[in-house]
Amino acid sequence: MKKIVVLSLLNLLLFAQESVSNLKLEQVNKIIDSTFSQEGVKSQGDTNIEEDAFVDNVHILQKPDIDKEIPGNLIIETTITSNGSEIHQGLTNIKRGAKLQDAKLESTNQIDYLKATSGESFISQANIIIGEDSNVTKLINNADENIAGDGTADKFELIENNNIKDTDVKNTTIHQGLVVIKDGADVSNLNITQKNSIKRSNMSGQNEINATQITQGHIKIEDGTGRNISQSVDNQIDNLSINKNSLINQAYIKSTQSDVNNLNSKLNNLNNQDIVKNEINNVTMNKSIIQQSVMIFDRSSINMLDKYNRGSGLQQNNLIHTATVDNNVTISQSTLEISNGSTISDVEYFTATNPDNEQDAINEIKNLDIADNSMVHQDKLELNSATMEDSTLYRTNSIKDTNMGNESNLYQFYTKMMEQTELKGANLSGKNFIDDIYINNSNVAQSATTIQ
Amino acid sequence: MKPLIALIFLFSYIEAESTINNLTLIENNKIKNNNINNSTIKQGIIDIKNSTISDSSFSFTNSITDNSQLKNSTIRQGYIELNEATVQNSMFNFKNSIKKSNIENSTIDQSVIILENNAKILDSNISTDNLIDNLTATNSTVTQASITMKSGSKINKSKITLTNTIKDTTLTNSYILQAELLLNQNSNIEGAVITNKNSVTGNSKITDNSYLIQGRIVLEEGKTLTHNIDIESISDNVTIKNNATVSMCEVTISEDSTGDITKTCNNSDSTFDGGTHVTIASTS
Repeated sequence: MKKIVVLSLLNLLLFAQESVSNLKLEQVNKIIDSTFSQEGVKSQGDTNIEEDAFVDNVHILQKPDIDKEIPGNLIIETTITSNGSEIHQGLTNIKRGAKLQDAKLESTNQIDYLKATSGESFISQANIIIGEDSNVTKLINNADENIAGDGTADKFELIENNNIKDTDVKNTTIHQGLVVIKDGADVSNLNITQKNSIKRSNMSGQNEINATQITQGHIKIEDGTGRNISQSVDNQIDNLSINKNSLINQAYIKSTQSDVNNLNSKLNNLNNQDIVKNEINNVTMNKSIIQQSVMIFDRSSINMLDKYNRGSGLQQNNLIHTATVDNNVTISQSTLEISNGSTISDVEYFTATNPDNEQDAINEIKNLDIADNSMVHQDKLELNSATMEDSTLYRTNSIKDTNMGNESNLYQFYTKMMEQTELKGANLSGKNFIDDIYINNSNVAQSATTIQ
Repeated sequence: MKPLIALIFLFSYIEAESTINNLTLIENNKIKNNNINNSTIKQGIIDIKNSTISDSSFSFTNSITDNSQLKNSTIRQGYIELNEATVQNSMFNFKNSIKKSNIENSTIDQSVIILENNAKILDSNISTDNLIDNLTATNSTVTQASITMKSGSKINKSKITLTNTIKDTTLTNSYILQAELLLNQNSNIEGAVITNKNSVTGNSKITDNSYLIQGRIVLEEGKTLTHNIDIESISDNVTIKNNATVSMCEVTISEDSTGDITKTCNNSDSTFDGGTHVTIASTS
């Protein structure tokens, strides 16, 4: 490690039985113009809330200006040449039995001009781990917050802005805004607002992602409880080359053996002027996977799901525009999987406001060249041993100006219900368009439903 | 943490059957101005196995238009397959069209229902409206609104309405089927009212071993009780030549079936040449 510039560094440790009220942590963690040439762990701005600690009204702010998108966790113009380097910025660990009330994490995470092309390296920014039997709730009512029926109100708010720009990485793992809720942890009123992007800013920037795993806004709930989850997502991948078994996950929620009550997933909360929320532009891919907006519920219950309730201004939810993908590439935009005894009710899974207008498709593919066993899924819903009640699924799919070849596959709104799945009251509507495309040795399925 | 969920999970391996109530499925599928080779396109597909659907409706509007070019490909628009599945108190409404397109060595299926392995459609209505306009087909097969029942499948107490139109179309070595009802392998229809209207007009040419079949009802290999079959066919200004076959509202009923059949048939200003076979409203 030759040079590390740290403008602000805060490591906080709260011990067991400690009680803290109105805790506000402002963290700015920077690594600028640095080289990591030896194996090691570098951690900036850790917050550890130890066993049975109690923190009321905690606000972790990992951005220097609350009103501006200036990064609080920043890695810029940095080179990693070593094998096994770890960099952690703004890691929060809430350990066994600890309690947070009224918790809020706001972070802007930026990686610019990173070059990590040698051995295996690991980078995390603004990750939070809520551990065994801990919970994050708010028990004290405030006038401006929702009050639950039993007189308690809960709140855990995540506002993340995760950006990776002009990177050239290989054999690297990068987590931005990873949240782990596990082992009996209880999180109520989880509000997630994410803006995730990986892009090249201009033609002179670096843009290679090879053999690398990147997650942006990944939330894992394992044997925990999540009540009243609200998710607003904006995912963008722009002007990149992604190769050699790379994996990119943007806005990925997985709930295992957990209860989730009231999940409201909107794609348009950030800016009504935005017209696309899961977007892939100007990308070349080879033997890699991109997943945008994934929700997986395994042995979980979900009561009320409102997904993609569009507002004004949103024209596409899932867009792939100008991309060349070949050699076993998989792209998934908007995936919902519910399995193993999970139940889901009051589902609204929506598309265009004006379904007669094919320009208003929720799932749109334009100028795509796809080949060699590659696959694109836009809106996949899978129910396996699950129950769904009172549901509306309304979808519009469009494929234009596209070339498909050599055993490639496009799926737009694929629904599968199987293994004793029960559906009680459902409206499924689809409008599917294929216009100006060249297809050779390939398969397209629009609004395909399998029940078994 | 959740013993109930674990219990359900266990049972799911004992019996795998999904149940669907009050399903409304509406699909509008369009393909235009494309070049499709050696490929498969599916729009508005529903595949139901070992499951029950009740009080539901299925509406498909399917079109292929504007110079779409197909070679060696398969297109399925509005395709329902029931395998050991039951649909009751439900409605199927299909509207299909192919216009201004060329197809070669390809298969197009629009609004096809296949029942097999004791699948049932009970107390339901099926309505189809099919149009082929300005199509050139070579070595291809086009099916619009076909209901195939096999392996003990059943349609009970249902109304079936089949309307078919072909105009300005040229078929060469091709097989065009509009509204076919085919029963075999101990399948049956009970208490049905079937209404069928067919027309071929406007300089259509059916040549070179082509088959044009409109409104064919075949009941075989099983007891059927079909009532009130009403058929109307019009053929106007059509050229049929070079061993082509045209069959409009052909009904074949096995000997243990009954049917009350009404037919209206009209053929005018058509040209027949070179070993053609034309059958209009035959019953056997």
